[in-house]
Amino acid sequence: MKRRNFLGLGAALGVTALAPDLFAKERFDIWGMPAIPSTMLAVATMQGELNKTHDMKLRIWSNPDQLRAGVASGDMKLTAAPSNVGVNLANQGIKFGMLNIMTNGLQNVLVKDASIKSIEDLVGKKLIMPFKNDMPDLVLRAICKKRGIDISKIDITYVQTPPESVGLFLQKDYDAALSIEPMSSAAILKGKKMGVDVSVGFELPEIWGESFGVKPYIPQAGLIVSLDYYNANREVFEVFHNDLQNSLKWILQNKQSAAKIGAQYLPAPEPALANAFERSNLTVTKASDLADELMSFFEVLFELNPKILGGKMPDKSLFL
Amino acid sequence: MRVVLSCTALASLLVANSANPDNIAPLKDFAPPKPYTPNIAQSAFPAHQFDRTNRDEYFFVTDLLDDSMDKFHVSGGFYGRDFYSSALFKYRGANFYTILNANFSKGNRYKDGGGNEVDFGYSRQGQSAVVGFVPNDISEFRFTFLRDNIDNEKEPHNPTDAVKTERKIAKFNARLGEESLANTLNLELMLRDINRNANNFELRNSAQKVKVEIERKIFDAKLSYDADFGNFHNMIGASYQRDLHEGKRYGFVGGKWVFNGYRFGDVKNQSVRVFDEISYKFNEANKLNLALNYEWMSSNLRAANNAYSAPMPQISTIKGLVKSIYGENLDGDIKHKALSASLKYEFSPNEKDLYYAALESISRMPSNMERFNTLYGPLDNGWISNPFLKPERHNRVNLGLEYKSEFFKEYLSSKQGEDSFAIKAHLIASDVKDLIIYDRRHSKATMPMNKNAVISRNVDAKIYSANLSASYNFLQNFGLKAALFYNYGQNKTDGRALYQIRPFEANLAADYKSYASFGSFSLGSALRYVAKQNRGDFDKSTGLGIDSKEAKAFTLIDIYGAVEFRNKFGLRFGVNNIFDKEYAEFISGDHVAALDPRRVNAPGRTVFVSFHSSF
Repeated sequence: MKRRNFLGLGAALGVTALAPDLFAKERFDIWGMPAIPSTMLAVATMQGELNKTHDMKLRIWSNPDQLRAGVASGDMKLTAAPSNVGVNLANQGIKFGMLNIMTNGLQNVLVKDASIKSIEDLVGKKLIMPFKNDMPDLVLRAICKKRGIDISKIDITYVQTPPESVGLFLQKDYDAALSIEPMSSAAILKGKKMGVDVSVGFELPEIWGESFGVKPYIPQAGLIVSLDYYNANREVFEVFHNDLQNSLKWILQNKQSAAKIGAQYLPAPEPALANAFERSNLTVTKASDLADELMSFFEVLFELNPKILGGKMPDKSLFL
Repeated sequence: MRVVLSCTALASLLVANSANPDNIAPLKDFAPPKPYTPNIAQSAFPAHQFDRTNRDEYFFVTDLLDDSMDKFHVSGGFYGRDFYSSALFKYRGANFYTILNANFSKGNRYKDGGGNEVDFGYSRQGQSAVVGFVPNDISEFRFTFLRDNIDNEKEPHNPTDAVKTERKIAKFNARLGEESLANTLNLELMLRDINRNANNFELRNSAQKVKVEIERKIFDAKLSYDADFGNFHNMIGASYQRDLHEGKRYGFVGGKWVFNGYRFGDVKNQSVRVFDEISYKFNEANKLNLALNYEWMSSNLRAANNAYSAPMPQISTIKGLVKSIYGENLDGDIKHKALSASLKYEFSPNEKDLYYAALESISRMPSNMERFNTLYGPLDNGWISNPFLKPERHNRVNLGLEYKSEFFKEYLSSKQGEDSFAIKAHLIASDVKDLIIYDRRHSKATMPMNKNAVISRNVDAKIYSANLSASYNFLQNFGLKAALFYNYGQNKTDGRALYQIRPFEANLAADYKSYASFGSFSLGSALRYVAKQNRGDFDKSTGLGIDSKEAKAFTLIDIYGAVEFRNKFGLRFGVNNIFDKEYAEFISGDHVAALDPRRVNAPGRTVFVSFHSSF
């Protein structure tokens, strides 16, 4: 090829790259949370049917304050959130509904001693965990109460954030850490680099189901949506629901690829994400199909700390 | 970029600090291909010294399988008439990890773009094992073994063929202290055992049989200590190298093998280095780095006075041969010492971006090939290196940058709906004192022997090297990559161009990646443009004459693609040189000491398909 031809081809490639999108689409903005269910959102926005008709954009909020501010200001019409947050917002008069549940619980207890296999084994042991008086703490307390375990006999240290909890667990002499995925998978990998044998002692959803005689589910997080936005776009949300279900199926069949996609949005290494999908109890279930389970779950939380739900139990109409 | 767990185990031993003399490579390095290390083994293309297209940089979704955390990985495929295969096992437990790899490749004769057969080929087997122990968070011990065996490497550009090349590398690493290097002692021991035989009769017909047998053992030890003191980080250390190198040439005369020269006359090198690198962080973004490296090197040709068969008694020893060319007596040890230094300023405003400027003065010791390759030539040929060479010193400015836009993670990986790009560039301007080059004797003597033999000498020179590369992800599924290279070398002492300076080159690639219900797939095309090198060392009567005027500018286009199914198995396929272009690289093949600019064309149109799995 002559130099002139070469330059021409290079210019043509450049022009192609800069060509504008000639088919402008309607926007469909989604906010995800910095946790593994957001990978489902990422895959759905990338591969779903809705992507063909809408200009989809996924962003991740970084902390609960940003979530609350975004919802209150109207910037976040559709966002992933811990399930109690949807109830809390509704109880504050903000017109939001619960669209679905995306995880049936991704909390587990990491241990250094593989003989710790149940919550009873934690009695007399040193446990570290984040978020005092928030959902993980309340779940643990509820389980202990139900099983007749005196929680004061577990030596619990509370810290501010999950990374801090896991970091201290690896470095210090804590026997166990209450953690969430993919932080747990990351901690197991980090432990291998540090010569610390870390494993998942048990998973809280299983213990929850066993304790309360229900399915092994903790309906922990899902999507919440502005009611006005939802009512104006019901058909779109049906398509999106199918996209999310296909997304979940694809993720479980293509964990490495999904981890690569998820790592673009989440502060977790790809190997940890790939290992975490199986332990994250991912689901795509409409909130209305889980109304009874959700109400049972919220009753337990409400009994322990009404503030976490905004002072009162939700109405079933909240579940879309 | 491919990263595999703990494959840093195979990193070079002496990457000590910014003033490390090993960062400077000779202008022309006559060395076998690099071994396939586990981190590249699964995705590697077969080695080909007459085709320098860097296809390892092509985008294939099957890389996901090759690089995954799965325990078992198997790949294999055909590249035209060549075959390559590799199997990898890796496992990481709580206190130990292991990586095992075996690979096999077979190169065969090929057709160039003009339809002519090129008698190329080799057979290669490699094995490697890494075993690491991590008893706790402040210690790690790692053992590495690697073997690379290349048989019957046909060398169409050289009078002899490398019929046997076997390299065995054993290494032990120990870390005592924190992985962050805040307070850490590192020890590394390495043994390299190399055997290489070449001859002119096993793979070709030759009236006069000649063979060369080379053995080399290199032992390295390095100890370094890293420590943080507030905003300062200091790394201090020392290393030792012992290099035993012997190579003999034989001719078949009167029905028996006659020893008729030393390629390396029982060389014994001992080298000691002490080094220190201190860096100061003004804040999170600004860092100043000073690195020093002092080296003592002692060499001895223990066979300097041993006799071999030669037409004249005066040149029947290395000492006599060297005296006949350089007029100096080769007695006792040859000793050198040199200080290297680097002062570098780095500005990294965030985790993604880096800008640096460095002033460096780095001294490289002459290699055994440059000093001790001492073979007389029966006619006007021969290769008699200069044992009295001085180390070369590179005084240079090194500027560089890396910039990534907000949403760029890697090539063809950006957040949904976000276009992104990355740029990387460097510029090195070097004023070299006593650069070591090969040249010809250019003797006016009437006697033909060694008359135009290859010699080595020091000259002063200017060398510039620039590289710019960019990646652009757009419209969710598309990517464009470009890389430009420019190099310039001028021998100031003789007022002529340096040899084997890579011509201007541009690489462009356009790729498409998408996901499907079954997994993912990718399609791409790459264009490589190499300009003609007008500045070269083309004439044996005035210079070395290793460069070829016949190497013209060329443009290649490859197309390629890959498909993978559920992260378990996949296929990689493509057509290289799709327009069947007849071309030859300007930089000549370098696996053996071939000095004649004999044109060897690269392969013509080549179809490849390979299978990759992970489980």
